[in-house]
Amino acid sequence: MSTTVRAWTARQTLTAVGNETVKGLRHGWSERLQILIELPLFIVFLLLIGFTAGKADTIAATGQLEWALDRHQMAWLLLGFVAYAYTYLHVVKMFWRLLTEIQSGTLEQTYLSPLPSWVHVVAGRIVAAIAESAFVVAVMYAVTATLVRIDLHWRIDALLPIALLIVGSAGLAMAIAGLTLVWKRIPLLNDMALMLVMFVSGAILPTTEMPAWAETVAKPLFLTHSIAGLRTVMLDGATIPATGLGGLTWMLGTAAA
Amino acid sequence: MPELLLKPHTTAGTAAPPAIELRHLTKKYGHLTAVQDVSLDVPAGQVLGLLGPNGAGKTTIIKMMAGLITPTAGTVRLRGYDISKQRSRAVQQIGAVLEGSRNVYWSLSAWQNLLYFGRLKGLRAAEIRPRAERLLRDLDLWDRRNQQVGGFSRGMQQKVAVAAALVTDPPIVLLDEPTIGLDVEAARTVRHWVRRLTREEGKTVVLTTHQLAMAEELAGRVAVLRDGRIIADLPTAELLDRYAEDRLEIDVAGTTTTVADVLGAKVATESANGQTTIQLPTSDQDTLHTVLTGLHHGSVPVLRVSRVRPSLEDVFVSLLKGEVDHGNNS
Repeated sequence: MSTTVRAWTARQTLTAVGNETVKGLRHGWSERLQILIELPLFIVFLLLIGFTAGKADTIAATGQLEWALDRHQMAWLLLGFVAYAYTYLHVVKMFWRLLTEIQSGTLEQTYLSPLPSWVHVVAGRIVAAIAESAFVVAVMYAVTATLVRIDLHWRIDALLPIALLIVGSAGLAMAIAGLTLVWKRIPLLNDMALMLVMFVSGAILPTTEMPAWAETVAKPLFLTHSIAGLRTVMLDGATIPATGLGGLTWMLGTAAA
Repeated sequence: MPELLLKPHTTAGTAAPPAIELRHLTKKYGHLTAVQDVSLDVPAGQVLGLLGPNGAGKTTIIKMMAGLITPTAGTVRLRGYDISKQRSRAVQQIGAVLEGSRNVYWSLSAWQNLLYFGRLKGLRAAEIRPRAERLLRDLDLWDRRNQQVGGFSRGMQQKVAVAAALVTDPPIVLLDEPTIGLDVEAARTVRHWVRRLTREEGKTVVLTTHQLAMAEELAGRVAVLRDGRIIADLPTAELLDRYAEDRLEIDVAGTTTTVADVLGAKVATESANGQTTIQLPTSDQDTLHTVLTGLHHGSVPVLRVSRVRPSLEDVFVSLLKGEVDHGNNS
């Protein structure tokens, strides 16, 4: 009986988070075919929106679609869609993996760890989901950028909305995952919520063009402000304002929530 | 049935606490009481068979021992560590194979699973590797260590689950239906391992199973649950003794004809492999001596005289039906 009782140190906690992350990435690798299928779907969806967005009048008048991409519009669209896709992937990966682990019983085994559950159930899974989601959206950006010239301002202050997007997505993913633990028939609600978020957050449609109720729904969403903040910095080359849509106050407030 | 229950020991003043100590453990789900006032001590190195029909509370108790279910009342101590107050230390004492679960990740290889679960329990890779290698070699999985567990047979997957539970060398092993769904060969391997865990490695094992022959073979003590309560808790041999029937069997060398020549046709006999078992309908000593004298005069070698013992399955069924008069048998 060689088991020794150990006090957990910060190093061991980091090791455990790394352990969980490696497991998550190995899961990701085993699901590489699914990711390979997902990737073109996201890209095709983005390009189709790029070809059609704002062209309804022309299509109605001529009956034809001009297969051309407006690079300014695509840059605007890409920032919003990539941010949304990141949140979507993060939430979905967390949710499905957790559900699978609940059903297969491996989640119970992970609770037999001496670590606090926030380390192995939360932190490790979040890091793995961040890594996978970041990979997918990076490829999405790279492919789109090869098809159409995308002019963006790569400024250091863009890291703030990106960081808050990551925190907000992790929070939403955990909220959904928490609900999964108590209510396993959540996929429908999850899909509906994510679809609603895509439309109201300004990812593919400007929030100014939306009805008042949609704006009201959009305001407390972290994604709305992260996307607006990203566009302010990377598209307009401006500094993030203190208040208003995409302002620092809203971003920090919604991400913290 | 107080005569069928062991009293939990008082550990105050003794050097080592029991490996597992349950005190007044109760679990309620709304109005349903899954486990009611269960107390027992399991000394180090013992195999406790936790038996009972479906819904008796076996899995709930196992999960409360592992800290996966919070008791409504009562305490669980693992080698002295309270699972609710010293969870981190308590769970380091256990490895578990849980019922109806995959227990391990199918998308990972056997080797990756063992490394993962070892690290999850706080071991370094350098500490895990030698033990993981030994376990996988012993379980005949070494050559397939780098293959995904999802591609293994059910028996092999269960072997990986057993290895994952043991990779940290825990002193306490909880096995909830470890052979369910396994073929004969795989179940035999698991049984062999449980025996080895206790006899060679001195581990404490709590085993739940519906396979009572396995429990009889492996468990030094059995606790029988019904409706969340322990209705019997005794060393297996003692429990079987208490239910021993009031009749005797005499094993002798020779065939039925030999015995009939000596004793006449007045006794029931069964023969197999050159031996005959004479069944006496009573344990009355005068009858026994008469038969033994007859056998002696007929020069029939007597091999064994024994009181008829039921199987654990017989006892289990009797306990659940409450048909046996315990006072007469104890």
